[in-house]
Amino acid sequence: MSPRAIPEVLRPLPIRVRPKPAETVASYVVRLARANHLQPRYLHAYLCGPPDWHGAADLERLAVLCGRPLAVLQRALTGPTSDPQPTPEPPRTLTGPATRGRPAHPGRVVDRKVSSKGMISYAGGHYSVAAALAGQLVQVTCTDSIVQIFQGGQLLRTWPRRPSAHQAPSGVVVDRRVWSSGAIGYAGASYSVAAALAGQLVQVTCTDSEVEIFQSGRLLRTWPRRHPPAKQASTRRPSGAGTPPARLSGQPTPTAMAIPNAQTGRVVNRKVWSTGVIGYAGASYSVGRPFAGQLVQVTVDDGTVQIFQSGQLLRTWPRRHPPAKEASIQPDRSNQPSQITPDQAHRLAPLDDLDTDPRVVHRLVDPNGALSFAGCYYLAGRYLVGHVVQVRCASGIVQIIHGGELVRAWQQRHTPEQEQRMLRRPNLQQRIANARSLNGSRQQRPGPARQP
Amino acid sequence: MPATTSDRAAWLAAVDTEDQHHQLTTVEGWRQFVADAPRPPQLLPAGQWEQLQGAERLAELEARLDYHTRLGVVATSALRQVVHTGRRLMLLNRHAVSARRGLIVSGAAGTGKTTAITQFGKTYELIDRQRHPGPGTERIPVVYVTVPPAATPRMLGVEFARFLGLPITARANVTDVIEAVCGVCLDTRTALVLVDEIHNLALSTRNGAEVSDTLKYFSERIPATFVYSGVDVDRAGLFAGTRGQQLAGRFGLIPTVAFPYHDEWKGLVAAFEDALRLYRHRPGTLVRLDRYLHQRTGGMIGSLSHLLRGAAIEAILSGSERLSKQLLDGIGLDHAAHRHHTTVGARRQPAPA
Repeated sequence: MSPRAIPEVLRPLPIRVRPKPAETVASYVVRLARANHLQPRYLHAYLCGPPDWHGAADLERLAVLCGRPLAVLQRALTGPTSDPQPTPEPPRTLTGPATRGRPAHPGRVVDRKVSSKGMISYAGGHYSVAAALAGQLVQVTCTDSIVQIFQGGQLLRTWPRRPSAHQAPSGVVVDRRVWSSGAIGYAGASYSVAAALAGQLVQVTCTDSEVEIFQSGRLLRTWPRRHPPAKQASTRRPSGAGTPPARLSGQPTPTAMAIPNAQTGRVVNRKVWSTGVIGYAGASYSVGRPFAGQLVQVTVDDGTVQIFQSGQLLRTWPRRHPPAKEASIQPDRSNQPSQITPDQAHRLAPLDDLDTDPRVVHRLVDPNGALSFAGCYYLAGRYLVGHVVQVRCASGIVQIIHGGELVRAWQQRHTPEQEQRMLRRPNLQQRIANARSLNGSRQQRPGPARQP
Repeated sequence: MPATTSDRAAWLAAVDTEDQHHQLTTVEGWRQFVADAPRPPQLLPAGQWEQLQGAERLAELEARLDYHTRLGVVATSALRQVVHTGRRLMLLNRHAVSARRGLIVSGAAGTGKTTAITQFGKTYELIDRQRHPGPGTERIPVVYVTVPPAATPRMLGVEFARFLGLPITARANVTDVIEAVCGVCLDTRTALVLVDEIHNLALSTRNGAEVSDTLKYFSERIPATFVYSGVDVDRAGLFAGTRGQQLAGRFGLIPTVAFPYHDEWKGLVAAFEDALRLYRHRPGTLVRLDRYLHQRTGGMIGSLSHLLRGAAIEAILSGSERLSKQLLDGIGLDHAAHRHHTTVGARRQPAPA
């Protein structure tokens, strides 16, 4: 019998704390933990319960631990999760009866009843809401990429849309990386490929009876299907059919105009950590573990932090960071915002006078792919490690040139004084060392003369 | 019959809460133990009792069975000494900032050590409730823990935390546990800590020494009087070595021994007989059998209580409703009492010619 199978007996904490009116669950948990001389993080994990011990605190467990009825807690505390999740746009029109089992129509709102485990079923996928809302009706709507769950006009949860079992036909090709054991995981089962391919990507497809594993179009293995059909719906990242999860490139998002503050430039991109949390102005804000690794857009509006993705509002949190911290926020950390496209750089600072320009210096690209110029580091690219590149600062643009071609261009980060100081006292050693690239110098440098 | 109806209700309530398995080592179980004051059921007039039928008879039977499973606590001399000495020590420790005095109750199994310290705890908690009336859920004046076998400091801390109701998972380390326990004990005004099964502590082992140090640390952090109880701790080496000397210098020892066949024993038997609620039992039967009972139980109050309660339940179930020597003979006892009875019997038998 596994330890998880043993039913857990919850007991009230020795010191009870009365919830304050309109207090958040997180605040109440912190006060409860401190009153009982426990670390708030520890108590929060305990309240989340097995098997994951993280996420939103379970109100039913909290009710037992604080020795108060669940209804009292729900009335006193402001939301089932750590904070209320208001949405600027309540759901549009509500259709009355639930349309269970039908395919989802984007934009249409349907009712769903929350199961005893806090889940709803929608369009063939299962979505978590909150165990505290078990038995209650919620409203669900979806777009092409996300599913939003409302109750009483309040946004409770936003999840990436999961592929439906009805919509996932056999034959979907997905990428899998081969484990060190030479096997891959697919739909909850493992299939052997070859130990020699460990670490490489293979493509997997599945028919009704067989699982086929390819690499570069070549069939590697064929196995009888071992996973149940229901599991196949949850296979991640279908690469051949369907659309992959939206990952934003460094370009501005096409729907960024829908985000408040988009014009004022106070929208910044953040990459969601593996814990489902982003860091913003020194505080961390939860987005949701399903969004881990994806880019989201964050803006602060009137004391609330709003997190968007593709123009869709994912989460809203009360501001937890001091306003003064916002001034020090880097507008964009994930996508090197000061980088300038080569076309723009060419237009602003042509390379015609490169040979005669006295401002051009040579730099050796360091093992990180960066180079030092006027007291600042500029990224050249890892593929240029060990190579000598030409660097010039013109019109406020730092240009990195290799082989006569512009490889990168950055907005100037150094001050003019730094640049003047650099040009006044050029690093002779660096200049000499940079005269030859490392690779070239190794080839050209004659070896020590061998004595006969 | 108001008394019978209330007894029946109490019995039904007891059956309803039977599934909860409250233990003394949790604060809920301890509070239930403190609040528990079993009232002896009133015997009906003989004619009325015989006319009871069906559910009424069953309920009356069950109420008396439930009462005889506990049969109350008899105030022995050891129990009185523990309560009096303990109260005196608590008053002495009231303003002590360090080196608080404690008490160790030591004796053979079945001599009433646990009963003595739990009754002392119950007495103190009732006094504390009188001093601080009101809801008072945030006061835990008495903590009762048992030393687990092969204990480590963390296990001991977890025992304290379990009593208090602090959630402890595998990820909590010993520092977290001890900090939480000490903080909560301070906030809840813990004044008496009862540590049972102290003989599980072997100071000769590293873990045992560490657990002893942890107990010492608890006694420094928590302004409470510590009362230990264990089987023959003075012989088990608890007072040996440096740690043992420190323990011996601060803790008074109250030995609990088997009762000699004396007036106190006769008083005990009479008290038990008074507590019996059997319809056809003739008062004075057990008092006349006091020597026999002493031989059977070896003077152990635990064995005596077990023997009389078992015999009373047997008398109720069989319908005889009286205790006799024949019935008592049929009740099996613990091995120690049985061995004592056999030894005494052999000694009294004349040697074969």
